[in-house]
Parts: sequence; structure tokens; C-alpha cells
Amino acid sequence: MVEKRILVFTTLSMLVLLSISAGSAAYYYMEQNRYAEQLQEKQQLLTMLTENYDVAVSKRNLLGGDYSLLFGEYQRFVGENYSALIGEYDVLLLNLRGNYTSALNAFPELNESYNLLLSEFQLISQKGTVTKAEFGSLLDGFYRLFTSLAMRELDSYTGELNLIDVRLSINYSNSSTEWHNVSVSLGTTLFELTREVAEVEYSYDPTMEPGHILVSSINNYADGFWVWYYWDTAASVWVFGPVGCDAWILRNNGVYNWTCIK
Amino acid sequence: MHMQPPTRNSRRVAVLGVFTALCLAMQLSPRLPNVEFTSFFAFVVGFVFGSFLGVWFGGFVMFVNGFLSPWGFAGVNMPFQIAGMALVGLSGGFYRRFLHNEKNTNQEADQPSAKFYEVAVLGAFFTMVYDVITNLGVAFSYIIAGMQPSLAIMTAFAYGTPFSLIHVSSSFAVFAVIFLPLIRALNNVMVVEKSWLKREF
Repeated sequence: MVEKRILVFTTLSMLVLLSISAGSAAYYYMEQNRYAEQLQEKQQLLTMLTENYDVAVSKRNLLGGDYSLLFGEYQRFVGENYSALIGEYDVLLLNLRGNYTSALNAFPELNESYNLLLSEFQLISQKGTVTKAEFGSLLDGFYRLFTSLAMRELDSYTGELNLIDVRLSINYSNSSTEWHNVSVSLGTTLFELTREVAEVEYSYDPTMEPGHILVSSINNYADGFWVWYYWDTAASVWVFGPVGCDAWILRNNGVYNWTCIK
Repeated sequence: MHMQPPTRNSRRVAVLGVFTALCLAMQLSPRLPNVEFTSFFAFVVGFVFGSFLGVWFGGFVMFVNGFLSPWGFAGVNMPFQIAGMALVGLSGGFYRRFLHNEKNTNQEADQPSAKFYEVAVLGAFFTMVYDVITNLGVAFSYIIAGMQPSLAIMTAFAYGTPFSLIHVSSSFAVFAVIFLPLIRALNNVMVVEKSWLKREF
């Protein structure tokens, strides 16, 4: 006959093992559910991305075709006054606005570029004679904006698929520095990140390329010039931002810095 | 009325103080998650000094730990931690009674290897009970945060299992390796009821 004492401790051992086994099974079940949900979510995102991509490509091809037609007419045009092409350009610009309204609303720097192009167009269209150079400049401006908008729109779609982790430090010239650890969508620019973590005032410089944004104040601090750097992991040095902050796409685990210099 | 000699009383207080300080120092030091010695000390205090002191010892250490733990403030879970560790202390006292009642009834169970197994199993079992109680605390915090009760309980238990596995395994090892030598050492310094303890080990 089995001793009571042995029975008690064997039962306790079994209880421990059963409890751990049941917990492990529950853990496995919950993890499986979580993975299945994540997979379904990713699948939905991929489907959405494919649909959005189709729409974006159609828009891009359509507008690209219209632009190409106008550009061909411009190249083959014989004469001194290009005002005959102004009407077609007007339609092209309206189509651009109509097709990329959400992108223009989402990216203030691109909206600024559009408004400047529109002003330039209105100024030129009021003139009796439009020179080849003037019309060429309008076409160049359109193409740059069009490609930027198309690219940013596609970036924003892929950005919904995943998040990246970045770090941003803001160094005020009074020596105080604040750090922000943020998860953002793929394709986010430094300008967008900065606007997400701080109150930013900025100006638009049409002569700067690529990127047109000059930050004038962060969190109401404007005692100097704001410049940005990125951390070069391989060389372990801060590198001065080579382009405008609105043209710099963030990378995963990237480290960035804003410094106010006098 | 039974009076204990002053020497014995002062030694009891001294040993209890040393245990408390040692346990708090280990509990509050940075360490691997869920590898702890508090349940072991609570059990030993309950075993040596009785269930009442075991309950107070376990509860007190977890109360202090709730505020000063390297893992942060325990919050809603603190009462559950206190209750869980008090139960471990209580069980130490009960185990002594159990040994006393079972004494000389089973020669095989009196073998050192049998005691080693018993104590390790008890350590693992009461650690598991402690984890069940604290997982209920975690579930309670989920419910407060708005989670459905059944889902909260299942989530807390499921995601607590990997930690429980570490906790139970480490306690099994700690109880198995340290308990018997420590009790024998306490016998040698004549801490409490020397002859009584010697009967058990």
C-alpha cells in the first residue's frame, strides 16, 4: 500500500506539473491567436496596399500621359508666344490638385510648392506673350511636384504596413536637450517627425532643393538657427543634414538631432 | 506559564533580524526576473519560528518590496503579493507540524533523500500557489483597465506561465539545495527548541 506521505507529495508534484502544462498550453493558444490576428491584419493591409497601389499607378500614368502630351506639344511648338498652351496647362494643374488632394493636405511643404506653382502660372497666364523659357519653367515645376507627390503618396501607403523606431534629440542653445523615442510609419520624413513631437514654425524656401523647409522655431525657441544632424552609426559621428528636413526619410533605429546655433 | 531563557529569546530576535535584512537585501537587489529567495526565507521562518511569524515575515518583506522593488512599484498587485508570501510563511509552520505528526511512522520518508525531495516539491508547489495569487492580481489590474474578466484571467495566467516556469524551477532548486543545510546550521547555533528541531532533521 502506498504511504500517505508519498501520495501527498507526489500529488503536489503532479499539481505543479499540471499547472505549468495548462499554463503553457494557454500561453501557446494565446500566442497562436495573436499571431493569427497579426497575420490577418497584415494580410488586410497588403490587400489595401495593392488596391491603393493600383489607384496610385493609374493616376500617375494618366497624369504622366497628359504631361507627356503637353510636353510634346511644347517641344514641337513653332512660334514665339506659348500662350496657346496655357489652357492645357491649367487643366493639367487642376487635375494634379484633384488627384492628389489628400497628399497635398497631408504634406504642407508640397502644398506650398503647389501654391507657388499656381501663383507663377497665374502670373504668366495674365501676360499677353508667354516665352518658351517661361512655359518651360512651368512645365519643370509641374513635373517636379508631380513626381514628389506620386512618390510621397506611395510612401504613405507602404508606411501603413509597418512602424520603425527612431530617436530624436532637440538641443536648445541654452544647453538643455530633450530626447524623444518614437515609433513612426515607414517613409516618414524628419520634418514630419519633428512636427509630431514638437511645436514647429517653419518657412518655405523655393530655391532649396531637395527639401524646401527651413525650421525657424521649435517649441517656441527661436534664439538662433535650427540645423539638423543624423547619427552615422558606422563612423560614430553626427553628420550635418545634407538636404532639407522635409526631404530626409527616416530609417529604422535612426538617431537624429536638432540643434539651435547662434 | 512557559518562560524562555533570555539567551534563547535574544538569539531568536537576532536570527529573525538577520533573516529579514538578508531577505530584503536580496529581494531589493537587481536580479534575474522571478528568481528570488523570499519565499524560501518566509518558509524557513514559518518552519523555525512558527506560522504566525512566517505570515508576518512574508507579508512584511513583500510590503517593502512593493515600494522599493527594482522592477518598480507593485501597485494593485501588492496586496496579492503580500497574501501570497504570507501563505508561504504559513505553510512553513504547517510543514513543521506535519513532520511532527508523521515522525517515526515511515522510516523510508525519514531518509535525507526523501526530505530533500519533499522540501523541493513544497517549495515548487507554494511558489506556484504564490504565482496563481499574483496572477489573479495582474488579472484584477486588467479588469480595472477595462478588460473582460474571463479574458483578463486567461491572459494573466497564460502570459504569466513563462515567468512561473522560471520561478517554480528556481524555487525547486533553492529549496532543495539550501533548506536542509540551513536547518541543520540553525540547530547548531541553538536558535529555537533545539531538541525539537533535531527530532525533525
